[in-house]
Amino acid sequence: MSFERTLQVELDRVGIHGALARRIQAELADHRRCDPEAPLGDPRELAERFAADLRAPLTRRAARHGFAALALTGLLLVVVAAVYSATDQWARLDVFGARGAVVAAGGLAIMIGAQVAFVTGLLALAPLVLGRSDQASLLLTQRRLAVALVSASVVIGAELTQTVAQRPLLPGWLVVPSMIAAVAPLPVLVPAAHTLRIARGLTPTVPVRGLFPTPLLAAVAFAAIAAMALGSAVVEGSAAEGLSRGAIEAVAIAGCFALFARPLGLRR
Amino acid sequence: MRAESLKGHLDALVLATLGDEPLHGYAVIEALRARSEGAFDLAEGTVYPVLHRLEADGLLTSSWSTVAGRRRRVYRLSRRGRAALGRQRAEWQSFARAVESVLA
Repeated sequence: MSFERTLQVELDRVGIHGALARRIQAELADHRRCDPEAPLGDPRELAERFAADLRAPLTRRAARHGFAALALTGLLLVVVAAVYSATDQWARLDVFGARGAVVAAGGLAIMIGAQVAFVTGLLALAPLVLGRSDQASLLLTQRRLAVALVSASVVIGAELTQTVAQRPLLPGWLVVPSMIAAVAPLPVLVPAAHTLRIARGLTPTVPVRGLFPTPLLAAVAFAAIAAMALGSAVVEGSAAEGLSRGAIEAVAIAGCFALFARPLGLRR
Repeated sequence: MRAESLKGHLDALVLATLGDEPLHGYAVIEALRARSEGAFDLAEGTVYPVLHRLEADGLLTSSWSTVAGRRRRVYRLSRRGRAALGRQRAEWQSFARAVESVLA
């Protein structure tokens, strides 16, 4: 088998596919045109070295971009909610009939999706902030980030659905900005998801259980509950609203912990 | 020079090689060999994963160029890469002075 063909098989084996594999092949082909006798080494070792060298920086990049997408999604969600409150749009919304069902389902998806995205996004950053770059920590970051990005996508989809469903009831000046605010994070979110997919392919599956320190877990949960309670109290101008949403956040975090604790490495 | 001796220094060497001008992978290896007067005779395939990693870390940027009908990937230092090179040069000079003062 030729060097190129063997390298292709080995790149595929270590999880390097598509454009990245084609780029590596093209660079090495150019190298061999410069020097046909060039000692490029064993294709298996070369492919493994690419995977080992790329999995950590690509995971870090996906986490940075992913967190930026999550932050932008959250920020725009808060801005839109604040505009709705300031202009008294909530009172106009139809909460009955088919349209009301869509709006209610969208609202639930936004509430749950945003909370899951927020918490898992923070959790995804934790191993990187702690300076861990072993395979288990990278895998944890990738799994948490995947959950966070899927949740953010659910929020974006629900925002769009809600806006479309309520379109006849909203003032014209609010419809297009609401839609733009919903999809604005996509140019950051989609590349982050793409990078994450590549990084995941390069990272072998290893045991990840129990790698997260309990005090940090408690701190993240507390930060999420506090942010939800304070944010809601400020946006809605009501301490009672803040407390009730903080309580919902606490229930949501407990539910997420029960569902995702093992795959996300939160407990043994 | 043994490849193991270069471990931990290869990133700085590659960054330094790209400090003066953008180069493609083969030219980076040739420049390393020439500037070290043949001392750094690396297994050539090992440089490409380093170039990809440095780019993924934002220290290099790269783009395709066509030379005499051949497509090649040309690497150049990013602003972050130039800053990293400055830091690594300073660290190396400090380390080399300390070793020299002990061994001399």
